[in-house]
This record gives sequence, C-alpha cells and structure tokens, in this order.
Amino acid sequence: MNLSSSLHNDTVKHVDLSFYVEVEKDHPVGRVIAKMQASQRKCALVMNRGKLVGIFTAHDIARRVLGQTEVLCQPIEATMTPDPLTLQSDLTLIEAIRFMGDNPHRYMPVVDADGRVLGTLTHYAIIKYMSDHFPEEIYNLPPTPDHFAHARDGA
Amino acid sequence: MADVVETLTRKDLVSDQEVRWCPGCGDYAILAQMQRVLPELGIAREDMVFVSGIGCSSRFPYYMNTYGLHTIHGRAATVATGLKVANPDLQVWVITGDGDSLSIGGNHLLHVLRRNVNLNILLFNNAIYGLTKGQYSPTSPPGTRTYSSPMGSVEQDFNAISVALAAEATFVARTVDRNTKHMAEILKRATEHRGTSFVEIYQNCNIYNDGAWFFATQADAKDDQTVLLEHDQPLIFGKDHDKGIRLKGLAPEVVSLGNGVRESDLLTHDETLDNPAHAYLLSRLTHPEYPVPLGVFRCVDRPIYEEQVSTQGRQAVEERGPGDLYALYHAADTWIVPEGSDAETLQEVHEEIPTSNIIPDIDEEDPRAPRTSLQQLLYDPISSLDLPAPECVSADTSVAEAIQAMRAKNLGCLLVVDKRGRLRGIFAQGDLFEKVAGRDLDLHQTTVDGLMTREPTALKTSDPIGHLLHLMSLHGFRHIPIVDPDGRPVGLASFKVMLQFTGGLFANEISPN
Ligand code: SF4
Repeated sequence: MNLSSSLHNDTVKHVDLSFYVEVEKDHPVGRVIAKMQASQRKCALVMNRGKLVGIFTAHDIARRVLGQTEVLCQPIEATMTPDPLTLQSDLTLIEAIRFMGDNPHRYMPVVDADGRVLGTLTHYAIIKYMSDHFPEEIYNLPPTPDHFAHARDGA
Repeated sequence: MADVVETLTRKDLVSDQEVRWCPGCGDYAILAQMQRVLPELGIAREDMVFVSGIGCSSRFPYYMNTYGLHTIHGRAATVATGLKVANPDLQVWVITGDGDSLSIGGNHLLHVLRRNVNLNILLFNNAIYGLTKGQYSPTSPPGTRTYSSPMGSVEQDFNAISVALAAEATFVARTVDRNTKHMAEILKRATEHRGTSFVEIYQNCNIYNDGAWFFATQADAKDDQTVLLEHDQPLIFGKDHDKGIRLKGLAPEVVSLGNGVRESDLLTHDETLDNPAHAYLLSRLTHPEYPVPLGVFRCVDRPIYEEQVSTQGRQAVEERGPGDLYALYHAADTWIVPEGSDAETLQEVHEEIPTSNIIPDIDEEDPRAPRTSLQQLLYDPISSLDLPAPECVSADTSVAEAIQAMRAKNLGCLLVVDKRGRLRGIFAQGDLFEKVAGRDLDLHQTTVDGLMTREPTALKTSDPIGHLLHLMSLHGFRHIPIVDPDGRPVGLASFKVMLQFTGGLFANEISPN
C-alpha cells in the first residue's frame, strides 16, 4: 500500500466520481440550483440527449448568478460553461493531481474511451483517496489536536 | 424542533474530555464519524444517549457532548433497554466491544436483540481485550498468541454477525473503521431502522492486535477481499468488478465474470428476507477463503419491544384503573427478616500467588514497521506547509462586497475577524451556494455576519498536517483557517493547496515506483 505506486498505477476511475448531478440543457437555472442544493452537490453536468454539453458549478453561481435574479428562470444553457474540458478515465492519479493542482477548475468531468460520462473528478475525491492510504495517521485522530494522547493505553 | 436540530454541528457534539485511547486507535475514526453523521440525522441533542459497558470502546460516551452512561461490564444493553422503555423518545446508542458484549455480556446481547428494543448497538470488534492489555477475546481466531494464551488460544471464535442473526436480530450490518464513507452510510441506516440495529465494526487495536482487519482495509487489498452488500444487487467484487459469488447447491463459490459466467448467475442479495438463512450464509463468508461481506445483511420489520410494553401498560390502566405499588408489594406472602440474623462476617483470605513462571515470554518490542517518510510528514507541523495568507474582512461587510472581493481575487472564501484581528467566522463559496443562491436577498443590505459559519474549526501552526487532512477528508472541510496562539488567522489551508503540496512531493518521480 504505497501511495506513490498507487498514484502511478490507479487511474481517475478508481476515485469517487459521484459528486455531481445531471441536468438537461433546457432546465431553468433556478431548478438546477435547487437540485444541486438538495443533493449537496456543487457541480451539475449539463446534458443534451445523453451527451455532455456543459458544466455549471458553485463557482459559476458566485460569478454569474448571485444578484441577478432574472437569470434564475432562463435555461441553464445560457449560464453554463459550454463544451467543458474533460479528463480521460485512464489518466493516472499522479497526472490528475498535477493537472488539478494547476487547473483553475475544481470539477472535471471524466469520460471513458467512448466519450461516455463516468462522473466528475473533484479535489475532495483525490484527497479522500490519498487519506485512505494513511488511516491511522489521518482517520484515527481525536476531535481536536490538543486532546491527543501521547502514550499507549487509554485505560 | 427542526430548527433546533438544524443548527447542530459536529462541534456541538465534541466534549471537553481528553480522549484517552492510544494514539492511532481505530476508535478515533468511529468517534469522528459519529460526530459527523449525527448532526445530519435531525435528532435533538437532548434526545441522544450513549450507553456503554466496560472496555476501551466504552469510553465513548465521555467524548460525545450528549447524555451518556458508562455502566457495568456487559450490561450496557440492559441499562439501555430500561432507559428506552422508560423514555421511548430517546435515541439510544449502545457502545460496546467484543469482550463486553460477547464474553461477559453475551447473554444480555442475545436478549436485547431478540426483544427488538428500538436502539442501536455498535460493537467495536478488535478481536482482543485491549483495556486489560491484550488477552484473546471471543472473536480472536483459534491459535491467537497472547499473554493469556502463550501457546495459542484453543477456543473456537464467535462470528458476531452469525450470533446476532441466531438471536433473531432485525437489523444486522458490518462496516470497518477505516472505510469512513461506508461507516457513515451504515450508521445512518442503523438509526433509521425501527427495532434493534446491530452493527459490527471491525476496529483496529494498533497496540495489541495491529492489522487484524487489514485484509478488509488496506487500499491495495480490500476490493478483492471484501464484497459490498447492496440490496437487490448481485454479489460482485474485485477492484475491477470482475468477480462474484455463486451458489453451488448450498455452498457459495467465488467465480470470475466472463467465460460463460454472467451477472445473472450470481447470488443476488436480499436484506429483507424473513428467513435469516440467506443472511446467515453470507455471514459465513470469511477471510481468506471468501471476500468478507460489508454492509447490511438483514433488515426486516418486527414489532418493537417498548411499544408493546407501553401498550399493555395503557391497556391495563384502562381496564383496571391505576395501580398501587404498596398494595402490590403486600398482595402476596411477605415476611420480615428479624434483626441480628445477618450472615457471618467472612474472613478475608490473602494468599501470596507467585508471579514467576506465569507471565509468558512474549516479545515486548513494538512489532510495527517504522514510519515511512510520507507517514512522518503527517506528523510534521502545519507551519512546514507553504500556505497562502487569508483574505480577512469584518462581520459588517455586505454580502455584495464580499462576493466582489472573492471574484476579484478568485478566492474560495474570506475569513471574518473582529476588531482585534481574531477569527470569528468563515464566509465561503459554499455559504453562497447553500444560503444565498436561488433566494431573493438584497445582497447590499445583508452582511456576512448573518451568513458566515461562526467560530469555525481552526488549527494552529504547531498542529500536525495529519489533522488538516483529518478535517478535510473525514468532515469535508474545504477551507481550514490556521491561527496564531491569540486566534488571529495567519494562513488558509484548502483542498487545492493540499493537492499542490502532494503534487510537489511526487514532482521528481517520473516512472512508476
Ligand atoms: S488498547 Fe487497543 S483498543 Fe484499547 S485504546 Fe489502545 S489501541 Fe485502542
């Protein structure tokens, strides 16, 4: 379980890609936002007849929606980022980390070789994947660092 | 009530008690997950009670800022039953271990399950007695060498899931300390179930039984050695989802998909079957012959104990009027024990027991591998990271101004500070998403004060990097302010910064390994 070899061998399809919702391009912005809020997903992939045509994220809400109520009833097509960049599902995680570290986008749609959407790669999912390699050092910690026991045996 | 519940956060559930488990103990991960999940369940804090027996896991109630009872060895289920019958509105959790519930408390466990009291039992199974320093437990496999079994234990071990099923439990599930997402799902399912929910949690005791469950947790092995149970789905497992469990007569067998073996040939999971035979068969899939099932084995409806008891009570009062306890006590044969007839005072006998020769010779050295450089890094202080300086505003900043500031500098969040520069809140894109988007608010009139997260969780520069990742990966905090000893922000950690940091660590590696 060496993180370095996992990151070189595993690909983006091995992390949790489920942090998104799917919407259609003619859905009004308000409805898309409500769907995102209800499922606590900050990313919506905009589809048209099963094909990815755009992406709409919490970032876009902050930039293009807030303070402009009229946008809410317009179709998402007008506010989304069209033709988003995508990542291939066989991209190794180390490549993905380098890419996401420099990339301004927090959410990257992932597609397989046939162009089918598999999900969305997020910063969180990569951090979670890496943390899974160090459960004792990361998960098995007390609620606050000052509560840390320094010796064995809590009895 | 809903309002009260919605404002509950993880912090509200963290108590001021010093957590005394050994560093690295799996109990910590379960505590963290409980504190994460509970606020989402819509239960008021005054309705939550944690009841425990004796053992390492039984310290749990001290660390939850809720009601709690640290009771007698093996009797947590019994005390919890009384509590639930007396006050059925409470949400009761029994926290216990393999020693507490399967040794001394075995009987009590069986009966609470059979009665179907509406409470949740979490059995932290570390397959060892931790509190008493490492003797074999009822779940330690035969041959386990410990202080109390220097030549290997000669006892058949219990399978906790099989025991629960045999005791007629209506909800039976298994999860592992290190699979935080799965544990969260199982904790939620257990709470939702009406009746006794029994959850076995594979928990690593890194001091006395390190690695007992590594087959189910190690990143490179777990997908091939565990199978996730999903209702109405075939039993498929493996990193590439290419293996499955098929029934050959009554015996399960592992098969590879393809070459004529189709998904439809595999055993399909059904957690709702009234007959526990299917769930029992799954419980017998054990390591290393089979992938070990994780998830819900059984979830069926049956009448609830305390509801039936109180119905009978009400019915009796309706039919016969309110009872009279004094009359009841004097209704049958009673007699008085005369004074002076107490039992003879027992003489205490002290006998010297020679201690030589009874303590077996077991290697005292820490058997664990030394930390790798990556592991060591997680103990390094946060000050060794190159963190960006945070952008700070005061609480009376309007939301419109805040958005402007975030847009101009492309920031994910602003820190809110008081006049003396101390951290008071955090205002993030997430708050805009959750509390502003889609609502008709006057952004110039509303201040960040009303929308920010107050007194956010912050860390100090001297805290370990591991704790940053703990808060990020377990609790999903995207931004974590770093403060000086006076509480003034000096840095801001974020998902992105951590990714850049990791990218940097592996920057010089070009080819695999
Ligand atoms: S003895 Fe084992 S189970 Fe008990 S606190 Fe220490 S590591 Fe945890």
